[in-house]
Amino acid sequence: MDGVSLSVDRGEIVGLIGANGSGKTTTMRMLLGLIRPTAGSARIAGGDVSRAAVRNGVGYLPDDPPLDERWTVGEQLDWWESVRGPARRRADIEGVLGVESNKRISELSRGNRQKVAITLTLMHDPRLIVMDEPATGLDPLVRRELWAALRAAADRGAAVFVSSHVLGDIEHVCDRVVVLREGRAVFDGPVDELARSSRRVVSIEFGHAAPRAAFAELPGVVGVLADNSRLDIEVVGPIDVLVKAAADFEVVDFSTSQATLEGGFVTLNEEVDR
Amino acid sequence: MSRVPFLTRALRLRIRSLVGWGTGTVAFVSMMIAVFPVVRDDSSFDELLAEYPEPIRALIGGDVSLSSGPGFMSAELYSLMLPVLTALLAANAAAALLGGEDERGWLSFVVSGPTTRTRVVLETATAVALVAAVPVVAAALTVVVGGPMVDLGLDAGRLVEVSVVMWVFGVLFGAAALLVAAAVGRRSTAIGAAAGLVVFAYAAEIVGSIASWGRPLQVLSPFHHLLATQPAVLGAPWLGLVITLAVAAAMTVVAALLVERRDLVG
Repeated sequence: MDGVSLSVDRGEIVGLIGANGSGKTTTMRMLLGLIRPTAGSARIAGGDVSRAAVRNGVGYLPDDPPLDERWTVGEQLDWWESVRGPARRRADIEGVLGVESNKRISELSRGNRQKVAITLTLMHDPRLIVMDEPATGLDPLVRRELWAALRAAADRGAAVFVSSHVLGDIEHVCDRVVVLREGRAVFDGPVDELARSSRRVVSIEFGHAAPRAAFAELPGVVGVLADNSRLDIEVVGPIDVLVKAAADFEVVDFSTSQATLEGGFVTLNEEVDR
Repeated sequence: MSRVPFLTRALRLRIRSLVGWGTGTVAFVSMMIAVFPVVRDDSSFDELLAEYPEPIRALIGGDVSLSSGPGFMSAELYSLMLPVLTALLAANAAAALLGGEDERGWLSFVVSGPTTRTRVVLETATAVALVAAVPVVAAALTVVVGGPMVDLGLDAGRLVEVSVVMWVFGVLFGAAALLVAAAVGRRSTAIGAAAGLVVFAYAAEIVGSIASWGRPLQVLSPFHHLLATQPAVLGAPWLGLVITLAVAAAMTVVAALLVERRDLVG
């Protein structure tokens, strides 16, 4: 990691995204004091994370949750209560995720193991929730329940910090997103802002030969492909200038691909490459 | 709700293994006890042993009389088999419970909350000490039950003393494995290092007992300080026990400090 500086506020859900090996897990482990930065510090509610009391309200879901295979789900959850104390939200979370307490963990599918791990993470109603790829193995319905549970936790005042490769989920649930690349934070801002910066393709069908030159030099245009009466224009950022320019011609059809977080993420990485 | 959840978890996870080791120990010691009358009644075993060169006698356990119960048990059980078994069982438990759990991310998971790493290490060390007691207690109970049937002659006080020696020996190597696991966070490295130490300690004792140049090495060996005095025959070497326990406790404290200071592996 190199010069990463970020914060997660109460009531906020922040997504951490990046390519494989970009430092997402390392960032989360540093935040929790599991590995120590060579310079700088990690603080929770203003306290040094290396102090156990500061970590009192933390719920952490690692990428590959380490469950005890020989135990039943109920035994696993009971044991975690013996470590962390009575869990006031255990029944709620079990019910929402559909956790089966009597089953042995070794008999569970990957998705059901993930449900157990999520229950362990959330059942003490933590004030800071850190989840590394929480949606792994979950079916779409349970994924929706998971994100709803995280939103509810944030509404109760929790700070939620979550990484995921499913950028569609991040886009819908997160208030803010941080993009890591090779150990550096290359974007930190609202999800919409990154999505709007995505490279989109605007396709315009004209009633005559495509006027390529009229569009090639417009602000935000990074490429134009002409095919008889049709133009496919690659554009980064707002497309209002394209709409205005098109108004000077006879337009038969006008379509545009949607601005998505995934598109913004790809565009951002291409820009950094350049 | 357990007040020592890491200790109880460690024992619960190893219960099957402990039952297996305990049962195996009972079977082995029972066999030894069953064989004793044959050896006791045939003086040729002692005569044969007396004719062996010193190095071979050292391997068997020194100058003992196989026709006496304590001597027989010392040579056949308490000089090598039981202490090594106890040491490896304790070392394996320590390596798995600290190094293995670090590797698979369990340690990171539990200490991401308010639990301190030191607490995990200390409860794990306690579990390792209890694990080390399993074969020792199993062997002692077998002697208590089977000994009178063959007039073994190992009295209760001596049995307790030799059992304490066996346990302390196991705890020492369990603490060594815990220390290595704490330093590197790898199960295989910890168990390998501890097994290597057992072999080194045994070789040092043998070499030191047969060659003058090996004496400095022998001084380092817990075989020399705890077992060469034949505790089943002559009683426990109390000073050696206290020093060994102090070393094990020091290694546990250093293990806790190491885990507190290093990055976790998984």
